[in-house]
Formats: sequence, C-alpha cells, structure tokens
Amino acid sequence: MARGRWLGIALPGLPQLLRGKWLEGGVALSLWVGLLAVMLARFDRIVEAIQGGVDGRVAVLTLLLVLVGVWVWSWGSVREGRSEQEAGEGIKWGILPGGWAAFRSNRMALLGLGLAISFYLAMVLTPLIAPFDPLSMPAFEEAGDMRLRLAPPSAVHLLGTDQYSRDVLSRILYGARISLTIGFLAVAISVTLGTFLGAVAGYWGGLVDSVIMRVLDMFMAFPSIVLLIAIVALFEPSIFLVIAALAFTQWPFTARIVRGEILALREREFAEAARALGFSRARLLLRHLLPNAMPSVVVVATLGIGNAIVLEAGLSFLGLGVRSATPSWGTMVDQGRAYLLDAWWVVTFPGLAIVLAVMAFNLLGDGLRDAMDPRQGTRVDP
Amino acid sequence: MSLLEIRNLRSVIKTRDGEARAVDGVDLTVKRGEALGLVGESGSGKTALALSILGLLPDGHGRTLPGSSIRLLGEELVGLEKRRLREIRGGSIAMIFQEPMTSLNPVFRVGDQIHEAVKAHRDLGRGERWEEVVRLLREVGIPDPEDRARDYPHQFSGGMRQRAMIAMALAGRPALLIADEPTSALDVTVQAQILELLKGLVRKLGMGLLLISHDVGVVSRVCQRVLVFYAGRIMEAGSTADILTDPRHPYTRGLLGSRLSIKDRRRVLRPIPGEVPEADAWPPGCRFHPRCSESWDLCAREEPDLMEISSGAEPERLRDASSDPTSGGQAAVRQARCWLLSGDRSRVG
Repeated sequence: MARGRWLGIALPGLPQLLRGKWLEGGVALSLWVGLLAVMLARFDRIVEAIQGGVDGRVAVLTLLLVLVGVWVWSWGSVREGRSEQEAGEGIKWGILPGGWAAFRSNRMALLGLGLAISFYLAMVLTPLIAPFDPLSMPAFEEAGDMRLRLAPPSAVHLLGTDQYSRDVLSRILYGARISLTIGFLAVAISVTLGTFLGAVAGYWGGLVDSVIMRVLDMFMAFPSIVLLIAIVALFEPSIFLVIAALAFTQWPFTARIVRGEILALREREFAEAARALGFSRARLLLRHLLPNAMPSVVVVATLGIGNAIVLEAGLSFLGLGVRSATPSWGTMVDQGRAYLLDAWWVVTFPGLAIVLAVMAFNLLGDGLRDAMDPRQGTRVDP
Repeated sequence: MSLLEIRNLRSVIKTRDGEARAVDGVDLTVKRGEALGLVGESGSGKTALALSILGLLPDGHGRTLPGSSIRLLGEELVGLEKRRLREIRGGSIAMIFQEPMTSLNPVFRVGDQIHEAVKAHRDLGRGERWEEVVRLLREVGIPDPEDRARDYPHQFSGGMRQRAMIAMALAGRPALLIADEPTSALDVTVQAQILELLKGLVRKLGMGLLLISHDVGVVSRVCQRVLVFYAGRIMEAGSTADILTDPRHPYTRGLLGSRLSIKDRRRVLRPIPGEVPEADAWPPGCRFHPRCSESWDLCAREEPDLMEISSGAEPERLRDASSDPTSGGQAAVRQARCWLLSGDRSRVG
C-alpha cells in the first residue's frame, strides 16, 4: 500500500495499475508520461506558444490542466483506495440505466471513447506537438531542396511530405482542428434544433406535428449530400457555411427520433402523474419528458459527429468545402489524389485519420446505446 | 358544505365510430374526512370518472359534457380556466395511480420529484421545502427519509414507490385525494400496509378520499361508504357494511360472489358471466341485463332509476334524507338501480 502510494507521486496511475485497475491506471499513466514528454521535449515551443496567439495559450493551459488533473485524481484515488474497494458498487448514473459498468465492459466502446478523446486532445495541443509548420514549403524557399517534395515517411517527416514539401503529419494535426470542429459544431446545432422541433412535434401533436413532419419528410426525401452540395454551391464558401449547411441537413434525423421518444413518453404513467400534480405543459416537457429522451439524443449526437466528419470530408474532396490556408482532411485527400500512385502517403494518412475519427465516434455511439438500453439491440441510422 | 359534489357528470371518450359515454350521469358526494369507495370491473369507467374530476381527460380524445357539475368546496370545476385547474391539480385535489413502478420519473431522484411538487403548490423557501420533503417521506412511512430522498426510483421497492407517490400527492396539502387502484400492482402484504397508510392519513389530515378499485375487499378495509359502478353508472350505493352483508343489486352480488375467500374455502366461486360491454355500445334497458341471471323482459326494455331502498329492518330511517341521495345523516342511504327493488313485485317471475 505505502509503496504504491509513493509511486503515485511521481507516476500517477501506477498505483492503480498495480492494484489491477488496468483501465484507469493505464489511461492516467500514459497521459502523464506522454504529456510530460511533450512538455520536456517541446519546452521551447511552450515558451513560444505562451507569447504567441490564443491557440498556443489554450494548448499550454490544457496541457497543464490535464497534467494537474491526472495527478490529483490519482492521488485522491490512492487515498480513498480502501473504502472505494469496499463500496465497489460503481457509479449509477441517472442517464445510463445500464450504468458506467455496462459501458466499461464494452471494449470497443472504450476504444472509441479513447480515440475520440485523443483526437480532441491532439487537436487542442497541436501547436505544441506538431513537428513542423503545416504551411511551410522548404523545397520552395531559397536554396530549397526539391527532394523534399513528396518525400516518403522518414524519421524527420514521420508521415512524409506532400507535393509542396509540407509535412503530412503536421497538416493532419492542424486539419483535425477543421474537421473535428466542424463535426462537433454542426452536430451541436443540428441536434439542438432537431431535439427542439422533434419534442414540439411529438408533444403538441395535431397541426404543429403535421407541419414539422412534412417539412422533415421534404428534407429526408433528398439524399443529404445532394442537398448539402446545393446549399454550399449557392453561397460563398466558409467554415460557417459548411457548419450551417451540415446542421441544416442533419436535424431531421434527430427530430424524428426525439419525436418518437416523446410520443411514447407522454403516454407513460409518470407523465400522467405529473399532469395530475398540476405541472404546466412546458415544465412537463422540459423537466419530465426530455430528460428521459436524452439517452437517445446522446447516441444520435455521437453517431452524428462521425457522419458530419465524413460529409465534410466529402464536400472538401469535391472542392466545395472550407477554403482556408490550413486544410481539412477531405481537402488533403483531394489535393493528394493526383499523386496516389507515386506518393501513397499523401492521401492515405489523411484518409486514415478520417476513418479513425469516424470509427471512434461510431464505436462510442454504439457503446453508449448499448449501455443505456440493453433491450434496444442494434438500430439507429443517421 | 360537502368537499366534493358531483351532479349528473357525463364524460365521453372518442372512439373510432364516435363518442363513448364512459361516465353517464353520475351523482356523488365526498365529505371531509370521509373515504368513499368506488368499485367496479375494468372498463366500467372508474378511471374516466377520476380523470374527469381533474379535467385530465386527454385533449382531443375525451371531454366532459356541458350540464355536468363538479364542485370542489363550492367551486365549479367543469369549464374552469386552465391556469386555475392546474393550481387545483396537485393542490386541492391530488391523485395517485395504479402503477407505482412507472408513475415516478426514472431519471430524477425521488426527493427531487417530491420537491418539485412542493415547489409547485406551496409558498416556501428553499430550505423549508427540503424539510417538507423529508417530513412528507417520514409521514408516509419511509425509513431514513433524509437518505432515501437521494435515491432514484429504481432503488425503491414497489411499496416504497407507492409511498413516495402518496408523499408527492400530499405535497400540495390536498383536500381530496383520488386513489385509482393504488394497490392493485402490489403484493398483498404491501397492499395492506398501503391501505392502512391511506386510512391513517384520511383520519389524521381530515382530507377526503375517493378510493377506486375493482376489489371490494380493498375498498371495505378503508371506506365507510361504497358506490358500485358499472357501465358508466352507479348501480348500488350504501355503507360498506350494508353492501358487504346485504347486497341488493345482482351486479353487486356477482362482484362479491367472484371474490376469493380464505375463510370459506368450500364456497363455490360464482363469477359474473361475460364481460363489460364496450363503452360505445351499452345495451338498451338495464346496462347489466345481458349478464344478469335474474333479468326479465322489462330489464331489456327500460332502464331502472337509482332507487332508494330500505335495509329491511328499519325502513323509516332512510326516508328523511331524500333530497341528497348520498349524504343521509348518520347512516348512508342505500340505493340500487334494479327493477327487482321497484316494489312492483308482481312482475317478478
């Protein structure tokens, strides 16, 4: 016990690992070691980042917060180690009837969660960990070496360089910011909108329901990629346009599911009981029905992020996506595809990033769904 | 003044082919501190009656017809504006339901749900409200109320949940509590506990109780007076003792004959044949006649009125309470809706 305790000061996570808590311990230890390595190896970059722009400071702050967080968690868990083992019941989360335990037992879901968190962490820490400037083209600078163009993966350029001699790894890291931000924001907006409209339709019924559902049918009648292309092609391309267009075309999926949930929930006895207690309609909907529909919303949202990332990549691949100096993954695939036969790494790695990100969110979504409702089986199709 | 006075209550529920008269001309009165039982089979319209009182018949699917009157402490509830009706629901009138398993919201702590009800109907500060929640839980007999208030409904047993539901119902200090089959989903032992709790609360808080059940036994444990309900109408009314020992209506006799008894194991069960007709197809004449073993041609032609009857030995006792059919002096008025009791005995074969 005591030995594990002192180890925890230098290496948080190790005491937990020794006690057989491989998940918590492993995550904590690898975070600790990895982030410390980043801090030591990139100390000059950190100094630079603090003096530089907002994203650099955010990155440094995140790094420090995560480090402190891991240490504090580990220390706390060591100190209450005994009582925790005795309690041993695990968290009963209101929204997760199956509980964290059910989620934990699903290894693929854990993998998805781990990947998703890593992606977002990498996205924030990019200014500190990216090996090169994603925009610098050393081959075209004065006395540049043309052999730096389309260089295969090597110790210096881990994932090779593209046709302009830019480092592929750095570009993927910076590209994550575009792709993941778009995915997250688009889903946040579309799920909010869809939940609101679906709840209103399901709860009020009648004319309101009919109008909302017919509009929804209209949206669902088009393949969403066609609708997306049409919207994006109409306006000046920008990151906000892509987010808005994605949100605008994706809300019906959430709305349909939420409406179904609310329809079923409002007939449940607790809704009747709430009415008999004289609660207003708004209160009934917001406090009693929607929280019960949240598991489905969370699942739809998680799966939706993966979907939004693919759609954004598709748009970019077609040249309709975000046009900015920093590329999104889809743009990288688009620009590199001409060199596929000579330099496979230019296309393959960004493509792999897309696949991994989408897979992470799909695994996470599936896991959440199973944990929340074991009866539901495999369903949901956004 | 009576606590609850219902006159000629008629409620319809929409069906595919029109409107079903689920509650068809009901008069009843509940006094303060009185427990009134409402007994009948499933489908006889008991729940529709309860929902009508609260104005909770589902929007667009049911309504209470004009001409009906429901007065709570003199205030007319039929046609009352929605805001005032919401104040009354959970305030002056509270209701508890059959399924304690599903009547609590699964994603909120029990204490939070009771707190919400307290907040909606009482003017208390935050700290006082939480004290009230704990007090209510203690009142309904939940041990360690401070701790149990932090539990989720799935951590409660069925009986505990029904107790929590009762606590929620009491949050608004109701003058009238409607209990719709409050014990039908519970084990018999728990059933008895909940009934004792209800009985005690009626005595202690002086509220009125309308206890709805298909089980005469349940009602007889708690109520002084019983209404036997069938096909949207009151078939027989009287004190619990009278109804149990001397049922006058063939339907009441049928209900009692269908009851299981431990004491008298050799008694043959005599269930009522057939089932309650659909509410949009009540038979002509007496609504019970197709299932009645004692019916004759008059029963199919004409429907009898709810007639006052004397319980044999002391006929005069009941005569003076004629104007208000359900509020007669000390002893409850006995009424039944059956031609057998019309006095026109010559026609009985």
